[in-house]
This record gives sequence, structure tokens and C-alpha cells, in this order.
Amino acid sequence: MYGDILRIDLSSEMVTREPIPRDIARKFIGGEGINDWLLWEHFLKVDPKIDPLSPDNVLIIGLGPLGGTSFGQGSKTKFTFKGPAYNMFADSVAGGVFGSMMRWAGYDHLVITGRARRPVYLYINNDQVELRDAGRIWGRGAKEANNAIKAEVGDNEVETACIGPAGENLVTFASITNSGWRSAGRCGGGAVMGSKNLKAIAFKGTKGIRATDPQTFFNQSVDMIERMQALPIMETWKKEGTLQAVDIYDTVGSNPYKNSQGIVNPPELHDKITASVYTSLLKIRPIACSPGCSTACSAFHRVEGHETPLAHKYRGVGDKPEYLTVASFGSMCNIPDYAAISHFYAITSDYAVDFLEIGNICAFLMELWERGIVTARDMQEWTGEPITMEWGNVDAVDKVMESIVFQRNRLGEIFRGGAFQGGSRLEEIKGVPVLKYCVYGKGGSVINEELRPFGTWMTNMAVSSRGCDHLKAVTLVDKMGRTDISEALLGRPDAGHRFVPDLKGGLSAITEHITCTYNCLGVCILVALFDPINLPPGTHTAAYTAVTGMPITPEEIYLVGKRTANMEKAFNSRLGYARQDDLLCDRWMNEPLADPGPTPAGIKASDYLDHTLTEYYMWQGWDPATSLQKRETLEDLDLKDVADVLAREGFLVG
Amino acid sequence: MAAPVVLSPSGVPVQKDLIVLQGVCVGCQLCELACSLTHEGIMNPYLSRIRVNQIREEGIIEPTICHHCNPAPCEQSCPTKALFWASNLPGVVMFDEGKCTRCYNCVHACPFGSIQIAPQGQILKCDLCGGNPACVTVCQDRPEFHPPHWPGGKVAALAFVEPAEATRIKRLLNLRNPQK
Repeated sequence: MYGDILRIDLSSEMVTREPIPRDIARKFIGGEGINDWLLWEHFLKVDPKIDPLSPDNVLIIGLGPLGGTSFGQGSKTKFTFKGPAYNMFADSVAGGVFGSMMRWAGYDHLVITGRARRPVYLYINNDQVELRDAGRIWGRGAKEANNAIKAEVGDNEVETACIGPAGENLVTFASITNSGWRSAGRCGGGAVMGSKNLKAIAFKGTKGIRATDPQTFFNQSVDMIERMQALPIMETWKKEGTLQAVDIYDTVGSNPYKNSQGIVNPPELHDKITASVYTSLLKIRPIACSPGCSTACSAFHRVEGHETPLAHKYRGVGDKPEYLTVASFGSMCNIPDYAAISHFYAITSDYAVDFLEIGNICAFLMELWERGIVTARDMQEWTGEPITMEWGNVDAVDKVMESIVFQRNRLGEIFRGGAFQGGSRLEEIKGVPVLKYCVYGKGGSVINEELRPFGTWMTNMAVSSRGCDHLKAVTLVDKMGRTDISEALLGRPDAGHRFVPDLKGGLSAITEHITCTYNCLGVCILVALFDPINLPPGTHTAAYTAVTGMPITPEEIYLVGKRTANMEKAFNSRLGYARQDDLLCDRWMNEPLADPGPTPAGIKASDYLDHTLTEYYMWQGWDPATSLQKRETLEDLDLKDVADVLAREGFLVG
Repeated sequence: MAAPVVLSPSGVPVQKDLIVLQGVCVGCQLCELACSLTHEGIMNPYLSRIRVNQIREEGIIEPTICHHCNPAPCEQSCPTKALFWASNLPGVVMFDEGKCTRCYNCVHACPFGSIQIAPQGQILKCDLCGGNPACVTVCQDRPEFHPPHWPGGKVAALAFVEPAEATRIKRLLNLRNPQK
């Protein structure tokens, strides 16, 4: 059954609790969808153009109705807010036990407004809600804060979401760390918490989640778990998780080598960062990142000191880095060492800062160093230390990261707003163009992955409601040439044909809706989304009904995803964003690859993007010229109230 | 300790054990959620008969199960016969909440910490789900632990198997490529 919405205003210290309105549950299911509705409602009372770091911003946390259950697809918690990293709609998802503990305490959503007068943390033990003084843990890393809160509360089973020094220092891409190790990395949620003087949220829940029909829910769980285990991709997912992408991407040409100057890691780098190096040298045991996951693609490792050339620097135990950590430091910065990469994963979780942006900034500085634009004198002047930004310099990465996270010096201040804003500042300081060497999108960083040869990915990144990354619509159809999936989803094979624009926009739109559905339900998009033939979103309907008691059809569950995507679009429209903002950086748009590897020579995003964007807006039912939504599309989705707001403010077509 | 005896579908008694393969659990808590769901209709680790113990910072994860010992210290310690040998499931120690006075003698008598106390104080005792444990059904195969040339079949943290099979799996598990 559904839990409640808990509202906490940090300014007035008022706490209120209410059930989720039944019609809202029906329209948005939960998780990302109900978060988006709560955000929309908040910004009907508050000017959406506010500074994201003002007390008027809101932080919404939600876990959907299949999260924290035995369904077998894990439990992913959504954090939703107006984001400081891109100054637009923002949300970020994380594993860990935190969100499940929230649901086991009886809450599906938390809405936090205002700003505390001094640093506090929120402690919620079932029905008891307390704001506690965080003076003693302010300044500590997220892992240490997590342990300190457990000690202070006297309960080792409390689960936390903490910020680290990056969030406290209002670094705009600061993240939130769940349970001490899983990050809601994107969009700067940590800075929103920091701006609210909110160090952490701690939950203990012993009430659990009641199923309306326990026997059916158990049968549905067993059915889903068995379907998942039977997927052809499952064995590799269990053994390697996202690290398998290092190898896949070196085959198809999608790794961001040296700040996205190349798309394939050269053999000497590939051989050091291929997944099997991690699994054979470091991994001790597999671990599930969140409750109820029958895949468990994470892992625990130990570095004893002899495993890699740099291992002696990073002895200790830790959690498996994900593919994008390897891409951000291994490929982008040319660091051929898993012990170092694992260290960067651990330290960014502790500082609670988005490693994508850190890796992006470091690789950008390394390229500028190689080009002689950033010099030894600059680095000395900005940091007070002799830092050389050579490719692969691990100590330089640590120094740059510390400069930013602790806002310790001029370099940290230049990059407090991320790679793009830092690049813009460097253009003023150096008086030469540098942004053409920066890989960015919509004023922030991007996920560190090559997209020029892949029409779906470039579309996803350009239109992403939360900035510029892939997670709003994950699909490997065109990267892997999966014409069968294209056929199943779109009725035609074309999206699986590589290096042509056909149907890439359509696939982006449909995949976005399916991705939203998963995020509304509160389960993990990984694994399942890569095989939508064996696991279409309609597979969830019987389980949803058995746990909530509310009937739903496969068509309706898909429309919930589409509705959610439209809520995010509408939020951004109110800020004035439209087609002209769905842009990618100069490197991706206009710079053909020097070495295209397995992809056609001369390929660049501007060859396709115009076409795929138009197609994407058409498939969404939006106006292709402006990208703005149409009344008819919104009313078909039962969003007349949203259409009325957009019409009143001049952001609706028709 | 003797193994529980359960009835096979044909009605013939078969000796089977609920066992844990050390080091294989991934901490997904599916066993706890399935246990509380099937017994209480609620998904809640705090209402589960099986518990997963985790010290995540050290990579320590191991489940605690009920071994259905024979003789069973919990059954022997119970002054009201709330814990008793099942008549229809030979070898299984069952629990009758109606007879329980919450003296918690069983909790203290169990050497494994296998008898749980719910948040509201009631005793939670494994009943092997009538011979088809839900925790085992949801516990999944880990290919990392397959021995070389593994012919197939599940290597999961939890298994409900006959003694000879338990020995075979444990023997083979020791043959796997030495990980770190």
C-alpha cells in the first residue's frame, strides 16, 4: 500500500503529514512522477525563476510503490528539486537502503522547504520526526557523517542521506550520498541541501510495506525474479555490472578518450581498465546496492597494494566503481589504474560531489595544459602549489578536486559552477577561446561518454529534462544495432540501423516514457531497460495492483511515464527553455573525429541532430519549431491544469 | 543437530536442510522481504524470521537462519509448548503464538540468534514455509562462485537441499578459482 507525504519546513520547523491523494497516485504512480507533481505544485506558489540555492527551493525525496519490496528489481530513490547545476528541472536517483527505510517507516515522499537557522539533520524514527543539531558533523565527509549519526542516535540500523563538504560549500554539482556509499550524483542536490543548512536525513522504519494481496504479490515477485534470471544479459551483469561497458564501448566506439578527443581507449589503456581487471584483481564479493535487487551488480573490493602500479597509494577496502567513474577518470583523464579509479569513486562519494563533473573538469584542464593554454604559472597562481595537469596525473586530480570541494583557492572558485562556467571564466582570464575544448551541455557538464556516432544518445542528451545526460532515456538500440528492439517498440527496425538519423528521435521519446515509468515505480532501470522485449513495462501491472490495491493496465502504466516526462518539460518551459536550448557543445556538434575507429569517418552531431530533434518533438506531440507542448497533447494526458498554466504564461502552442 | 524431514510431493519423507553458503550472500534482503510478506502480508525486515547481518564498511554480509536443531534448545526451553515439533512436517520446530507468554526463554536458549523479536514484541520463528521456503525461492544464483566447468544450476547463498547435495555444493564451492 501507499505511504504518506511528509512535509517539513526548516524555517518554521513545521511538520505535516498527509496521504497521497488517490487521483494523484493514479496519474503519477509514485517516485519520479509524484515528485514531479509535488514540484509543480510547489512552484505554482513560488516563482520558478528563483535562485536554486534560495530558501524558496524545495527538495523532494520519493520512492515508488515497488521500491523496498520483494519485487526483484531493486529500490531507487529519487531526489527532485530545481537544480543549481543547470538552473532547470533536476532530479537524481540513488540506490542504498535509505529510501527503503523511508518507506518502511511509512512515508513514500518527503518535501523539504525553507532554510534552517543553523546546521541541522533530520531524524525520523517511524512516527517521530526530529530536527537535530548538526554542528558536530558539519564539515565531515558523507561517510563519516553517516557513521557519526548512527553513533549519536545509538542505532546502527539507521539509514542516512548525507551531504559532504561540496554541498556545504555550495558547489553547484554537489551530490547526496545514501547509506554512506550510493550517490544521487547529478544536478547538485547536495548544494540544495547545503543551502538549506541540512546536513543529513536519517530514517529508521520498522512498519514495513503492506501488500493488499500478499499471495499475488509474492507470485508476481517470483515471476519477475525468474524472468530477470533468464535474461541472456544477466550473467555478465551479475559479474561485471556497468563495467562491461568499457569493453562494449571500445568495440562500438563510445568511450571518451582524453576529454572526448577519441572514442576508443588505446590498447595500453583498455587492457588496464577492462572489467576483468577489476573482477580478477580487486573484487571480493558481489553486493546489491539496494533492497530487493535480484541482479546485485555492485561489489566490494580490497586493495592490498600490489595489484596495480598505483595500488600502494590506495590500500583499503571499498565499493565497486561504476562504468562512468572509469570513463571519467580512466578514459577522460587517461588514468590506466583501477586502484586509482576506485579511490576517486570512494572520495567523490565522501566529499559528495558529482564525479562526472570532476572528471570532466580535470580532463578539460589536461587538454588545456597540453595545448599550452593553462600553464604551470597559472596553476601555481590559482592554487599556490606547483600542479602539473599532465594526462594521467592522479595527484593533480586529487588537488583539483580538493580545490573545488573545499573552495580552497582561486581554481576552486573558478570551477564552483562546473566545467562550462569554469571554461567561460577561463576565456575571460586567458583572453583566448577555450570552450571549444570543453565537453558540456546546457551550461553544465555531460556524462562522459561519446555520442557523435549515435543518434539516440545525442538526442537524449540534448533534450534531457535535467540537463545533459543519458539517464532520462537509456537504450543501447543504436549503439548495439538492435533492430529487433526497434521493431518491438516502434514497429520498424530503423532505430537499430547505425549511423543514420532514422527513427532515433522516435526511439528517444518512447524510451523516455518507459524510463519514467520505471522511475515512477521505484525500481532500477538497469538490466530491465536493456531488454524491453523480454521485460516490457506492462510486466509491472499485476504487481502494482497487488501491492497498492489499485488496478492499472499496461497502456495506462506507459501513459504515466509519458505524463511524467511532460511534467518535466512543462517545468522547463516555464523557465523559458525551448528548442534553441536543446544544444550540444562545439566539440560534439562540429568537430569530426580525428580517428573515428569503428564508426564512419567525418561523423559529427550536427549531421543528425536537427533531424532527430524534430522527429523527437513530433513523437512527443510537441511543436517541432519551438519544442513547446500543445494543449491537445497535454489534455490527452489529463494535464489540462498544466496546459492552462503554460497558456497563461505564454508557453503553450495551440 | 539433525536435519528437518519434509514430505516430498509424493508423500514420502525426504530429509532436507536449509543451509547458508558462506560468503555468497549479496545483501539484497529479498529473503527478509519474502519471508515477512508470506508470513505477515507485510514487506518488512523487522518482521522476518531470517535476518541478513551486514557490516557494509567491512564487506561482511551473512544471513542468520533457523537450523531446526534436534534436540532443539528453543523447544526445550519453552514452558508453555508454544514451540513444538510439527506433526505434519517431521523435523520442523513450529511456533503457536496463542500459547506464547513472551518469556523469551527461547530467544536466550537459541545459540544462533535465530529467534527474532518483532517491533511489537511477538516471537518470529522459522517454519520452513511448510517445506518450500520462500527465502530460498527468491535467493538467486551467483555466477561468480560457479566452480570451473560448472554444469549449471543455482549457487545461491541459501539452499534447501538433501544432505548429500549440501555436501556436494560445499565441496564444489571450495574448488572455484581462488578469488582474493
